[in-house]
Amino acid sequence: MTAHVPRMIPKGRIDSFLESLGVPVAVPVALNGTGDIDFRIMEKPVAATAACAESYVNSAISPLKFAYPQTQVLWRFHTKPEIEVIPPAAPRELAIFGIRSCDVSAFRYLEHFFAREPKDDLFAATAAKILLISVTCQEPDENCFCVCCDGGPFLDRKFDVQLTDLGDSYLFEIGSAKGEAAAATGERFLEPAPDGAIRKKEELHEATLRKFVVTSHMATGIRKLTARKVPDALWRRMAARCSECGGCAFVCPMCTCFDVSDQRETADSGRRERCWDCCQYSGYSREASGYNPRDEKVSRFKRRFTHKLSYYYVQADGVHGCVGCGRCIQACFGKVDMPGVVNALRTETIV
Amino acid sequence: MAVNLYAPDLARITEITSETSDVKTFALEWPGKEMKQRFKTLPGQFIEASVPGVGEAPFGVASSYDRDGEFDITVRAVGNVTRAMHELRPGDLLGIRGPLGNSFPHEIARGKIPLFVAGGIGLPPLRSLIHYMLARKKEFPHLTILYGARTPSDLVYKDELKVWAGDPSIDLHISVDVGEEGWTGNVGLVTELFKEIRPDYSKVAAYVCGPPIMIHFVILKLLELGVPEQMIISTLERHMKCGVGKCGHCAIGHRYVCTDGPVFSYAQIRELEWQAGEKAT
Amino acid sequence: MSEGPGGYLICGYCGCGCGLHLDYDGAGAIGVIPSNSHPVSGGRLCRRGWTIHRTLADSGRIRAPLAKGKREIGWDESFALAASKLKSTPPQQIGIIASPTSTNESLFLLGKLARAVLGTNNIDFPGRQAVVPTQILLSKVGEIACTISDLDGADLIITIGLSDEDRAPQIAPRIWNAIRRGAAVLAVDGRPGDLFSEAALVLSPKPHTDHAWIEAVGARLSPRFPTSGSAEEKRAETGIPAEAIEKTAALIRDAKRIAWIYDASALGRLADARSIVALSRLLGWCRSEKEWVGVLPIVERNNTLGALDMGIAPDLLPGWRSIRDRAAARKVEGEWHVQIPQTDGLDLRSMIDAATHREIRCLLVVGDLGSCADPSAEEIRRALRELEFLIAIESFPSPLTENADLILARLLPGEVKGTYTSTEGRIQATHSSLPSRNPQEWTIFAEIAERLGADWGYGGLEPVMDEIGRLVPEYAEAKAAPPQGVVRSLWGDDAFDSVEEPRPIPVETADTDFPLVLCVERTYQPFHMDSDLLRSPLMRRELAIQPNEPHIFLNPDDARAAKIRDGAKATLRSRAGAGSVRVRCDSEIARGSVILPEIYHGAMGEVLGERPVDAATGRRLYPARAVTVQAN
Repeated sequence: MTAHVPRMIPKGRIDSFLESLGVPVAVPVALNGTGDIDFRIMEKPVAATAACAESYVNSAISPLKFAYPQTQVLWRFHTKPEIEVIPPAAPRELAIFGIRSCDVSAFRYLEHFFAREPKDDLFAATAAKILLISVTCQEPDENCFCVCCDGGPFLDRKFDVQLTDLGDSYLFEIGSAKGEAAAATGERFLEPAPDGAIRKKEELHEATLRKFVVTSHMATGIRKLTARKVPDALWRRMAARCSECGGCAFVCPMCTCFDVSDQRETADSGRRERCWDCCQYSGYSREASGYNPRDEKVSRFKRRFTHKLSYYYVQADGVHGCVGCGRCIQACFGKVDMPGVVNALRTETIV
Repeated sequence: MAVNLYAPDLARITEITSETSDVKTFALEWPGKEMKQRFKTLPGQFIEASVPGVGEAPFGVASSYDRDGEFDITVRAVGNVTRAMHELRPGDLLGIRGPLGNSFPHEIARGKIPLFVAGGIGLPPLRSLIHYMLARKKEFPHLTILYGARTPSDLVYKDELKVWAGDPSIDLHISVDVGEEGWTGNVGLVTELFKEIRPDYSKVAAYVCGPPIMIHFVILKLLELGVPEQMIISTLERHMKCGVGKCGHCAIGHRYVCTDGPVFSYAQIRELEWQAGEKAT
Repeated sequence: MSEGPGGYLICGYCGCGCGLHLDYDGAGAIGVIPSNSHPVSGGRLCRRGWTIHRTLADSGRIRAPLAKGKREIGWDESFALAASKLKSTPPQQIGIIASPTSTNESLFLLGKLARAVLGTNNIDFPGRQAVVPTQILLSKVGEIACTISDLDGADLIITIGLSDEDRAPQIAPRIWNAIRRGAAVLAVDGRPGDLFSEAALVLSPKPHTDHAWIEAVGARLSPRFPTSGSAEEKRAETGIPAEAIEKTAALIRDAKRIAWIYDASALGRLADARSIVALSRLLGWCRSEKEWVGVLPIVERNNTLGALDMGIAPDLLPGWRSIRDRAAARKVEGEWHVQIPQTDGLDLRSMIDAATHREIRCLLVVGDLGSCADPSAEEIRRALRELEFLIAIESFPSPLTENADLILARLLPGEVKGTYTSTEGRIQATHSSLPSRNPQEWTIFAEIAERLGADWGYGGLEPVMDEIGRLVPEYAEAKAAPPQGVVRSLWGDDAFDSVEEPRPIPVETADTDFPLVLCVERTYQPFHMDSDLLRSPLMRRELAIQPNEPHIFLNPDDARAAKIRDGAKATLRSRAGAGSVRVRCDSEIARGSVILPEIYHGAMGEVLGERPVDAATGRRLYPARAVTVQAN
């Protein structure tokens, strides 16, 4: 891929640019009269910039849900006269505007994960049609720690199109073939980036790095955990605070586990679907015989963090299991979220 | 061609044999030539069988691929899916995804002494390797099989066992935990059958399948008798859903029983447990 | 596709009242989005809240009204049938069993249908009896309620009967916050569980002996604290050693701001009037000596408090007015333009009893009675067999709908518009705009009333809420304060006859033949097996851990003494009878106790035997039996 000369797009032209792409666009919206943000597909991406111009808090559920929904039909069937397997609806083209760097990093990981042999063609077909137009963060939320996880706040690769707010305009950087195609389609709305735009972006990046509240020393966590230097009693104290609600897995953009179930719709037809699952649930590894290799909550708790942090996984996956989006901090009842646990591993105590 | 990774192809049931009061063997064939050619299971691989509307469950393929696209699975009725399968008739279609997983390393047994130790419903997956080796007598001239079940009624492939008993290239020993009226054979745990054989254990390639507790004790016995760790081949069992290394349920450490297994050597199991920081069984 | 049908929802699975949104695709709800902005849930949901969309998607729904024989009929025909049956039955032979999971508006109109149209006070809901002790408590102590957020200001939190986090999951973060900021936590429970693993102290009194430890603690705090019996006697009765009593008293003495949280509907712990009265005295002392004291009763369902506020009781009208208080009743009569029957109606137990004896011929039941502890499932089954006509309003087929003559399709929480009043008294609107082929529950009662000649003419939900606001002023405030409503504190002043010195519930003493004490607790198992919950495949998998056979839980040392292995089958035997159980060991259980999860109380009926009635409240509690466990 050729190195791309960065461009610029005035803020006033973003909506027109998005419209010119000719695909539905998902943008962050405030739901139902509350301050809760979620990415929703808008028929007209009106005022798309409004939600992103200020420092909104990230959505409770990652926009990766468009590639990997909470509930997804795998295939449909009918059983009369004989069994017939019917494909699910074909995925649609989609652009996600306003997605943050943490979620972009996670998206690339999901593509890598689901592409492992045998390849998940359902995911691949869906993800292939999604264009990510990310906006770099200049005002991290109080829970953010992407800077500790190589997940942001500005990316130098992995993005399709990365926008940086320069005031009246966005710096428009292209990072992939999809980004190139989008730039070509919306060419008429783009301008050359002014001199010093890149330097300005780096200054903004530096300034943002100083604004993070949460620190999570991931490398130390990885080391201690891989070296098995975590006392059992500490695992137990942490696990005691877990309510087994499933929230950490559901809000985490890096979590991929799912359950599969059949749903009858009529006497002779139905569907098989997958839905997000959580390894903290006691039934997650329980076998048909009733035997459960992770019967104790502490073994499940340990397993989650081993998966996310242990070196053997990092080797297999290429990255560790956290992008620092901070959603687990919000979702956890007992505050045994990623930074909470990593800090406990580091200090060998829990507050 | 299946709709996607998670959707089955459809095979037809040609014959159903009752092995025990709750175990049946289903003989399946592919209706189309394409699937016949494509579906080639190596011994030890498994399939996921679907009853649409009920669910899906994994079964070791109990036969070798030498049968021109036909294959057997042996199913104990223990949950919703297996109970629904037991209601099916010859001629019915069954959803099949596969072949999945890895296979028994048979090349390690070349020039060595293949020893099979099976417990109860552990015999079906081993049967695929036994059939494979029986079809290649030049490479595998002699097989030793130790098979244990709870009671004589619980023995599977009863007719085939008689054939094996009569085959001079097979040294078959059977034991049951609890005898029944009319049973004149061995009574006792399968580990006691080791008293009846005297191979050179340093040359044995052992394939062990059965309930986890039985595998545990048999492996201890084999190690005690001097079989090298990498020559003890077994299977790991975990709750499985997708069967293709995505849903996470069967993962032990960073390995998936469904794609990196289900076949593992004892040496591999120990390494896996060490990396995972938890037991594999 | 755009934002989706939308609607800010309040979860319907427990009294916490958590906020959430649903996520949609073209076909329906595919996911749950927790509400980060909600003051109680703050972006957290328990495993039940996360699964709401799966229940909505289940195709086993009752899709349309069904007449006998599961014949689908139209709504018009079903309203006509319901109205005609109710019209032709004399009011004293009609019973209405409401659900504490319905909205306030639906409950209000059901109550109005009963009183103002049908002319009966035979109306109740399962679990109402359970909160009677709380009514006593709060009417004696007065304005003392605290919200879930108030817990963050306490330096001592005392919990009673909360080991099962499922009771009120949003309490858990406040407990951990307390631990983190150095506040003390004291748990009173048969088995503390993980939530109390860092509590300063855990007390495990014997069943129905809470009055004894409370009085013992009170006596340490103040020489004038009314008690009966010596400290020695109390300790023996309750099984709490002297050091623990002293430590409890010390924690209370040293604290400045104390919060008390308890399971308001337990039948085995803090369940008897005697214990409630003792607690009310201790709270009274705290109130006069401490900077702040708060009480947070945890009710069972998402709208138990709303049902009470709306007057769903045989002796109450909306706004906690006693039926026998003529002046108060007149206000309601004025609003409803009708005379209300002046004698108390039958409560749930009596209605079921009367139905068994054919004195009640027609019942209208909302929701399923599956998890009702009293009357039991067997008693309900017997009653339904004798009943002439049963109208069931349900979402999914259940044992109740099996017996029904008319089934009206009920909406699920994700589809409902209306308000719920959470366990902390927060009145908040759940406002689904998910399209449904079936009507909102409140319109069902309005329609039946119209067919019976009433002239209500509510054009929408607003006028209903306005009327509620006129009769229960706190609800008028709530209407003006979306999206997360307003917290009200209403437990009625003299809604309850004052109870002087109720007699304690008899507690069997342990001896060599029966050396252990049986405690029926809401722990180890999910606290209620909502049939709706089981419509989610993930929940079916999770709740499958409930084995079909009854389990009991023992301290490992007691199991060893009885020569029983963990997981073995055994016989649980009391002086009343015996039953087959499977034994599990848990080192967190105090020695000398056997815990029977409440979910098995039906199967262990022989062992429990006759249930004692607490004379002061009329509630049937679980007996405190001495038992033995024998290996098979």
